[in-house]
Order: sequence, then C-alpha cells, then structure tokens
Amino acid sequence: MTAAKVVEPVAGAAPRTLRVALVGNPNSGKTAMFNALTGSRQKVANYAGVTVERKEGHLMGPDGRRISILDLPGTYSLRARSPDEVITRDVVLGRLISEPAPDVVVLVADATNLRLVLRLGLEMKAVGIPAVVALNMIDIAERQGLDIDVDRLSRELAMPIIGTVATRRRGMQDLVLLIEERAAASAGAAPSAWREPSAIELRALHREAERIHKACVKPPKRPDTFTGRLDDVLLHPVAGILVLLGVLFLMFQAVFAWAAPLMDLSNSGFEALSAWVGTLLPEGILKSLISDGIIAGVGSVVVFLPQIVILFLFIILLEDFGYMARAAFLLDKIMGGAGLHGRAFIPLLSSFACAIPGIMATRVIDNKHDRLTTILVAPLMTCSARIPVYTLIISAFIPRQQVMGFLNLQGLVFFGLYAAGLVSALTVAFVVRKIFWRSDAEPFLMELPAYKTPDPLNVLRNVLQRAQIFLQRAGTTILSMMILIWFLCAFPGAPSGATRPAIDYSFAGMIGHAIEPVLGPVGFNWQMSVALIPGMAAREVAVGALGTVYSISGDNTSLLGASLAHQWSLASALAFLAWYVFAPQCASTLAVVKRETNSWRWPIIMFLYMTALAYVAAFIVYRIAVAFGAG
Amino acid sequence: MDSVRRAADLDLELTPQPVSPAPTSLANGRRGFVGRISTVGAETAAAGGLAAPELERRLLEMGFVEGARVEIIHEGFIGKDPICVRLDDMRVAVRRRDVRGIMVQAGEP
Amino acid sequence: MVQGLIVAVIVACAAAWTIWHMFLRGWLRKRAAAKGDCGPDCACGD
Repeated sequence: MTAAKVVEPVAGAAPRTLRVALVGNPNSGKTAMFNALTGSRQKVANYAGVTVERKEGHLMGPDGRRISILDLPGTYSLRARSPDEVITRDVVLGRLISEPAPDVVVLVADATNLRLVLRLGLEMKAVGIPAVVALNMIDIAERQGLDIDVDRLSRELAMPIIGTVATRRRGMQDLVLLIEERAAASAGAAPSAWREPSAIELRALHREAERIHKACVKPPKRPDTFTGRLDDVLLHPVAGILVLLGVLFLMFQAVFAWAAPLMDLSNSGFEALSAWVGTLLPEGILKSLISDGIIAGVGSVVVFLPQIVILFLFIILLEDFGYMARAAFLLDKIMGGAGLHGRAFIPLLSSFACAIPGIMATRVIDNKHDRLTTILVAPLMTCSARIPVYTLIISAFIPRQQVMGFLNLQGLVFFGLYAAGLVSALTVAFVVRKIFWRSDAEPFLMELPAYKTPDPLNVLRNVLQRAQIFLQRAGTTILSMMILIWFLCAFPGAPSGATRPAIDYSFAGMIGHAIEPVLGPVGFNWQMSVALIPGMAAREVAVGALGTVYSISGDNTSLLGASLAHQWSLASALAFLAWYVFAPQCASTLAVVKRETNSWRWPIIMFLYMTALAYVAAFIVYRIAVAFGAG
Repeated sequence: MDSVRRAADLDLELTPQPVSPAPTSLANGRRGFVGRISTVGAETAAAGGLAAPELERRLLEMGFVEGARVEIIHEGFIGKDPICVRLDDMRVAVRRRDVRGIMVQAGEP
Repeated sequence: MVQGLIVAVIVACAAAWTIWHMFLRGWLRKRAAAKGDCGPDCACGD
C-alpha cells in the first residue's frame, strides 16, 4: 500500500475504516479491553433515538488503517431481553440503520468462565458473523492452572482465538493483527438470517457448548477460593449487611470529610479570581456581570467537583471489584418488599451521583413495570447536584462538632438526608406498585462475578469521564443560566431614591414575590423562592442563584453560608433541606424520563408527586422546627 | 459430603435412598443443598407477569440446564431468599419462586 | 455605553444558547430519531 492511497481517500481504492464491535457476557472485561485498544481516543454518546450509551473509539492499525471500535452492551445471548441487548443484537446482525454492520466482531470471553460465552459464540457461528475470540483474563486462568485447548476451541467455534489481558494491555497488538486478517478473509460475507431460538434449540446449543467445554477445558488445578471465602463474609446474612451499611456510611463520610480541603482551596481560588478581575475592570455593569454573575455563580457550583469525584470513585471501585452484584443480592428482599427488582439497586445507586445516568441504567431491568417504578423513584435518591445545596445549608446551620467522640455532626445530618431520600424512594415505589400495577416482579437472575482487583487506570479513566461531564455542564448549561439569572437580578435597576435593595425591584424580585405567598407557609422567603426557579435547569444552580441574589443585594459577607446563617432562621433552613430531599425541579431529569418512557404522562406524574411531597415535607419540618423555637 | 448430610437432615424427602431419590425443587433447598438438575421447566407462571416459556428460556440462558451441578451456597437474610447458587463453576443469584420449576436430583454426583 | 453593549450581547448569547440547548436541540434530535430506526422495543411507554 502506498502512502498516497491513505492520504487521498478515493472511494473503493483507499482502505476504508475497519469497523469492529466488542461483544461479550457482562463482567468479561469488555470495557477494559475497549480502553486498552483505544486509550483516550474515545467518544461517549447515545444511539439515535434511544438512550443506550454508545461508546466508540479508534486506533491506527499497523499498516496505517483506521480501526474504529464499538463497545456494545454486555449480553448472554443474541435473544435480547432489554433495550441494551436489543442494541447489541441489532448492531451485530447489521439491523440498525444508523449503524453499519461491523466488519469483525470481537467476542470477549472471560477465560475463567467460558460456559455461557461458548453458547453465545455458537449463536454467532450459526449466523456466520465474522468473529475473533479474545480469551481475556488469561493470566488469571494461568494462575488457576486452567488448561484450555485453544486450537481445538478455535476449530469448534470456527473463530481464531487469542489470549489477552486487557487490564495489562497484553495481547492487544496480536488481537489487532488477528482482526485485520479476519476482515480480509471475510470481506463481503453477509450474515445469514437469525431468529429467536426456542427452548429446545437453546438446550441443544447448551449441550453443544457443554461438549466443547468438556473437550477443550480441563478444570483448574488451583481454583479460585478467594471469591468463595470472601462471599462467606460479604453475603453472610448478618456480617454482609453490616459490611454493606459500613461501606455506604464510609462513602458518605468520605464525600463530606475528604473533599473539604479541596473545596476550601477552590473556593479561595474563585474568590481570588473574582478580586483580580475586579481590579482589572472599571466599576460598572460589565464588572458586575463577570464577577458577581459568572465567576461567583459558576464558581459556587464547580467547587463541588471534589465531592462528585469521590462519589464516583466509590461507585466505580465497587462496580469493578464485583461488589455491586453482591449488594444487589443482599438488598433484593428489601427492594422486592418495596416492589422493586434487586437490580434496581444499581440504577438507584447511580442516582446518588445523578438521576440521569440512574434512569438510563434502568435499562438493565427487563420488565416494563419494574423499570417504570424504578424510573419514578430514581430522582428521590440524593443526587450529587443536591450536594452543593446540602453542603451550603449544613455548613451554615449545623455546628461542626463531634458526636459520640468520632462522628461528625455535619456528616451525620448529611447521612440522614441521604437516608430520608432512600426511605422515601422505597415508600413511593411500594405505593406506586399498589396504585398502578399489582403484577409480580421480574425474575431476579444475576451472575455474581468473581472478585477482581480494580484496574487503577480504568477507574481513573471512568472517574475523569464523569468529572468531565460535570464540568461540561458547568461550562455550558450552568454558565448560560448564570448569565440569565444575573440579568434577571440586575434589571430593571432600582429607581432613583429607592429605599430597598436594588434586587427587590428586578425581575427576579418580582417572580420571587409572586410565588412567595405559596411558599410562605413552608417558611421560604422570597430569595429562596427566586433560587428555586433557576434550579429548574439543574438543582445545584440554586446555590449559584442564592449566591447571586445575596451578593447583588449589597451583602458584604464574602461567604454565602455566613450570609445565609444570619438571614435565614434555622426552621427555614431545615425546611429548605426537606424541600430538597424531594426537589422536583430538574428539567433534565424530566426530559430524560420523557425520552425513556416515550410519553409525557410519566414526567408529569413525577413532577406532580415530587412537588407535593416536597411541599408537605417542608411544611411539616418548618412547623415542627418553629414549634421547638427555631423559627 | 458433609453438605449432603446437612441437606438430608433438613429435608426428609431427601433421605438417601440406594437407587435414586425423587427429584426435588431447587426452590426448597437449604444452604448446602447439592445435586444435579434433572428437569428445567416453568411449572407455574412463577414470575407473575412473565410467561412460563419465557422464564424457562431465561433460566436456560443463565446456564440452568439439565445435567448442570447446583449447590446452594448462600441464602438471603430475610426469609432465606434470594439464594446464591453455584451453577457448575459460576455463581448465580436467584429468587426461590423463580426456580420452583427446576427439579434437582439431590446428592453429590 | 460600550459596557452596556457588551453586556447586552453576552446576555443575548446566553439566552439564545439556553433556548437552543433546552428546547430546540432536543426537538431536532427527536425529529432525527423519528426518522432513524430504533427497533420495536426501544421504548417502554404505555
């Protein structure tokens, strides 16, 4: 091949991009392989019209040919049971219009757990999909003394096979060579028609897979006993629950305590920036926009990045370690009692970070009713966008003192708010099932993967991806909202000779005063009412809005918290916290629900029930606090 | 072997017989119950909303097939449900009511 | 005067961006998706 051909892509002459898709059972290390192949050259988006996450990356083959890699959702079979698996099936079979059929499919197999992936391989073989098998985690298989007859396996499946260790990037170059060879050999071959196998055919496929397994795989000489021994503790009816509670509690203490120094640092950074800009610009409206509107507003949100990073670090570590499935097992009965599927635990835990990925993650639940119930309660889980609000109020109103010698009172209140969200989610789920549908839940069938040491690089990459998404929001949605809020707060200006602060005369003041009578009974003043409106864009914007409202209203206190502490009563602050446990105002969540359920009915129901709960909760909290003299 | 004895103690139906004891449902097994699957079916529409043939196929896809070795290795803490089953060399979590139709020939094969 | 003009431009940009991001983009995507094929069971609406 000459260089000219590569530079000048004449149709049919130049080598076009080689399309490769990764397919495999869940927990086979597919995503680690995707990362090992593509490094940082990846793009996360959605499939057209559905919200299944589409991860694509690319690399350059040894001869300079571009290879694009698609990471497909994990599946046990081509017979799809959830929207995620529908995508996998349709891409593999070339049925998706927006996605051309891959040239080569890489079947990622966990070398230590081949039985089920063999059946998937046989399904692919029957359809005639050009495939290669990556026998992943081959190092663990070797350590266990697992004897795999690779040549025979390759003949039986009619697919070339290569051993890989994705987390250590072992075998990646050979895999790429194998992919290219396979692509060259199978050019133009179209897969034959596929149809759903019946139970009888499934049994036959299984028998065939079993025969191959017997013939090619000798049982390990040193089987993994670590997972079994650890499960004896982690799945123990008593010890397991204690460990689970401990893990969750540690997570929330960490979010609060570890992040504090970093947050203080970035806080003072933004203050310094604001002061520096103040010296550069002349006094006037532009300076007000930049330092009061943009820097103060965006800064008060970006400050929460350390907490979000720590939260995601925990979630990703637990997922990669294999603990998530155990937690789902332990919680299935509780979740089932509330009318939820054990698997709903994973979407609900993701909702601790943000309800949007959580609602998207409900795709792992096959049954429609189970899924809708989970979607409806997911926003009740305390998402990270509430952290800024909670942090602000807690640090302003709850004294930083030790309880029982080692517990931080602020951390305890924080934990209590999370617990309130969790309890209300379970309660609402229970009620929803009773009201809308009484049918029993989906079967709970879940593989518990072997424990694995999380790969630091993988964890880091995933955490950074989440941080990037958060910062992107801060840089786009939040920035533009901040500018608009500033505008609402600054215009129209106060008339000459005004006695009240300027913001009282602005649009924001008008809106705040307009809804104040409604929110008055729950102890909200007009500034709080104003802050709820931009909070529609994203919950954390409410913090920025409060910052804007108070710094514009001529308050000289640099710390928003301190400012709130002497302007709000404790009862109002607690009512605000109670409101935010439910806080229905997140436009993006409602939009995602609309998209996921394909109807306006569910987002409307969600908005109404959450607003009602928020109002009632805030009312009760406010009245009780006032009765105790905190008004 | 110890586990067989334990299972037998708990369930009279499992009293060891020289030839072949009647298969018992996996749903009734206690922790330590070991055996080989003799039939996989969905005798009832155990999962409510899910049709029996569909449940059967899902069980098959998860590896619950005739001849597979099963052992109950963990039980949940409320009502001993769900259960964690060692299925050949995998670990699978299931609810008892979903595996009612899986009949198991008890005893170490 | 110059300051007022700059501020007006920034605010107008922010407003336009918000409207685009929150409403128009989603609407366009939805229209594009309607043309594409997402299979019979891609959504679970009633």
